[in-house]
Amino acid sequence: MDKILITGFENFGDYGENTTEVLKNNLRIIGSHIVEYIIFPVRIFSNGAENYGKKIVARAKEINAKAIISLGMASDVYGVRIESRAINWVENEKYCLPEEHKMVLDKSLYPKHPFDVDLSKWNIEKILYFLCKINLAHETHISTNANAFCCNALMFRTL
Amino acid sequence: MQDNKYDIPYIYLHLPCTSNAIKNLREFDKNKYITSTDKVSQILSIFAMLYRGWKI
Repeated sequence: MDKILITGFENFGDYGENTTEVLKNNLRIIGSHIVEYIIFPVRIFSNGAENYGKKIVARAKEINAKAIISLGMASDVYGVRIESRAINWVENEKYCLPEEHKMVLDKSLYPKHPFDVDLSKWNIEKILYFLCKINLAHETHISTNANAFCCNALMFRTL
Repeated sequence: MQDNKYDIPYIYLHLPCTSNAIKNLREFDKNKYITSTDKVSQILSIFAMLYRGWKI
């Protein structure tokens, strides 16, 4: 069977659990694909944080993954929200360490340089249609703001 | 930045909090933010829907 690589995050702050980590114990197969997970700590630069993007792409190549699905949890979303853009920037007053706050991820690129996700491999209209059909909460617009914390950093380094 | 030079299809999804995630957060407006994804089975159904819409 072909494989899919899913990434998520460990719990952080005062949250009781991270929605993305919950999946690891409950989802092993999607359609005809076996799921493999990588769960990362909520870190960007500090405490030995590795380059998550490099690790994700390397692992995806190793297992010949047919797709990479990255997941994040956000308290400000009402349902599933598709992210389409990552920027070269880190900013979060609550969760960033002082040395991380308002920094670029890649010093060779200008601050807030954007990378867009190529969503052409996914039938977004169809996905949203089916989510709506089963009354699963989702946001109908495609977001261009993944916030500027770990989710954005992971996306930026993976693209 | 890691160049995804093998062009592996990629998608990023933000998911809302579960009720377990916010149970200790006093300032959280629980009525506002708990969604149907609270149940694991419904979270999983996201992927069933996702699968129907991918082209890989």
